[in-house]
Amino acid sequence: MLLGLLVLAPLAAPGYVLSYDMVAVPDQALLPSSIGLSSALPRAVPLDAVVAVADSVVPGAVLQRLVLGAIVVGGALGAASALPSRSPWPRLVAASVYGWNAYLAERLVLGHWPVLIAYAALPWLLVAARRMRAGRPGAGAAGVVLVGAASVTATGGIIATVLFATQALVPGGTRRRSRRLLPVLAAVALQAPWVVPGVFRPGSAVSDAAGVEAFATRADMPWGLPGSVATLGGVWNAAVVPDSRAAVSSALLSAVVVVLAAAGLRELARRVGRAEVMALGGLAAAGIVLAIAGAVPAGEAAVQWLVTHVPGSGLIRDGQKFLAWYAPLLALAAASGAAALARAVGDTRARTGTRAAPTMRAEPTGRAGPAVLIVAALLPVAALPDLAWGAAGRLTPVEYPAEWSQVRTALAQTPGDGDLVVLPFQPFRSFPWTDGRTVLDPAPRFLRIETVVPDTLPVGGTVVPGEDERAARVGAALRGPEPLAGLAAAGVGWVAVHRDTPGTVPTAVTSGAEPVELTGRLDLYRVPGTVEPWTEIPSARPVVLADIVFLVIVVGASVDLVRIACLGRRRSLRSPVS
Amino acid sequence: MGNFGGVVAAIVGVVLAGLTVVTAVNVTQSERSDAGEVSQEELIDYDQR
Repeated sequence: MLLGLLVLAPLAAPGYVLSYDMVAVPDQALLPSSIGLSSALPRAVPLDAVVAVADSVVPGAVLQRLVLGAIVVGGALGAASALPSRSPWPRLVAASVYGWNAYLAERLVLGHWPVLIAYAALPWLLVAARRMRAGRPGAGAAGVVLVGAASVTATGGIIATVLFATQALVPGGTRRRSRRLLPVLAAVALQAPWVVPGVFRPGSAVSDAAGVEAFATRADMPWGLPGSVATLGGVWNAAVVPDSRAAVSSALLSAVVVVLAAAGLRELARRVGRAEVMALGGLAAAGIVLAIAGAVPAGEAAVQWLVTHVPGSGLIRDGQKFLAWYAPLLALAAASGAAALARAVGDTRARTGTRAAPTMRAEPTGRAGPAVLIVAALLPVAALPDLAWGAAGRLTPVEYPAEWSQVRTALAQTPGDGDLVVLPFQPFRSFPWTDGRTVLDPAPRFLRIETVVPDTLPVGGTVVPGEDERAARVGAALRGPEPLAGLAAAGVGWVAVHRDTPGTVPTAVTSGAEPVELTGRLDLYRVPGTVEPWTEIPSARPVVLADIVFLVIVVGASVDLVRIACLGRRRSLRSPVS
Repeated sequence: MGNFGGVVAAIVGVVLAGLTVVTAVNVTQSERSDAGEVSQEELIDYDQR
């Protein structure tokens, strides 16, 4: 909890946190594109639908705080829960390593909160799979619900499902493996909401090779790529790397955590079982391989071939995000290593020779033991002090200008056909009211209307082409001699123009379109003439069916969880022992 | 043995404390350039290195 407060304290201020891909708005609309009925790749599907439904119950600003709080606190608590230990001190180390590291810091600033939902779910999934193997009722349902929460985007779904499946099917346990298969199959089926629109989407789902180099893992600390990856860093975007990562002192402190983890593997195997550690190690290795694949020549060629030939493989071009699979092993092993060290140097009372369970092995009981573990728990914070206070102020909330609400109201009240395009036609903005921070344009979500969003990304001097043919067509129209005719032909009936962010706006658009609401900060125009409807989107029937499958599985698992909880409560009330 | 362990623990503690202080000083002294310098004509780069 303390770690969470340290990280998220700035969120006590009103407003919305906007940082790179992290966008939150007051009241997001549920639109066809929210479930993937759009020409774009389903990158935020079903995330946008879930947010749209949730923020009709909870205000968007509150929802964002709840989710970020759940990520930062929930992940740390999960790691603490996943380490069998009678003493709270080793659990504290696990929580600290998992809840305070470069992966969390960099992905938070980059705004990849859906990936971080999966990250926070991983240790809980470890616990659920462990209980499932032991035949505990409700464990499978809990795992399915967790995978459902993590599967609001493709990457999160893959990260959570693969870990849950590998851990659920680990050999051993009291419940037969065939009986553990059903929750795993349910977890796989939960991926339908983003898989189905991707499959039924007109046009190709392969990506451009330029993205592999642009999104490759890169060194973010003094010890190069190996050191970066070993310490959970190495995100491709240097602008989101905490300053402390450049310090040798920080690298040394992070290295101590890795050394503790290496030394603690055997101890961890004693605590959770060799099979679980082997499975977790295999997955961690897979994550590391995916992370470095795009950054080394041979791997880069292989990843380039994959993303340009296999539809959907663009998911692996930012391979560093799969280091999430390595994080639970690092946290649990480091905590186990610290516990073993504490036992060795401290005043302990080993209980070997008794019939105690592995989880009850000697824990540090003197004063020196906990001291060692407290120091170990402080190491991640000492190595990365600039994760505190909203990543050194980079997660400070901001308020939307009043003009944005004016435009949204005008858009809702003015008759007209077609979708929206926001100019300058580029995905990222730098507003003065966000202190110049780079942010994915919030206008498409804020204005509650279907929007054609450019998916061509300028990254470090390279332009990575997108996959959305409609966006490419709109871009070509805007560069052409008759942009308004081109927009109308592409189904665009509205144009919003930012006046306080870098980029160019074709004068032919603003001079030829009908002004609807001109605020000087965000202006709204209507495209004159007949606007052709855009029909090249996935078929609605299979997409809606996929969402129904998702809902049925999540609701069914949730009901099962509640039922088992109620049964357990009734049994405990009937119990004569109190 | 107990004394030796205590001495080693003290040395490790001092080293870790020193590294912590150095890291903290490094962070407070670093200056991050912000995007305020981006010109109106320039595309906003996803990666502002």
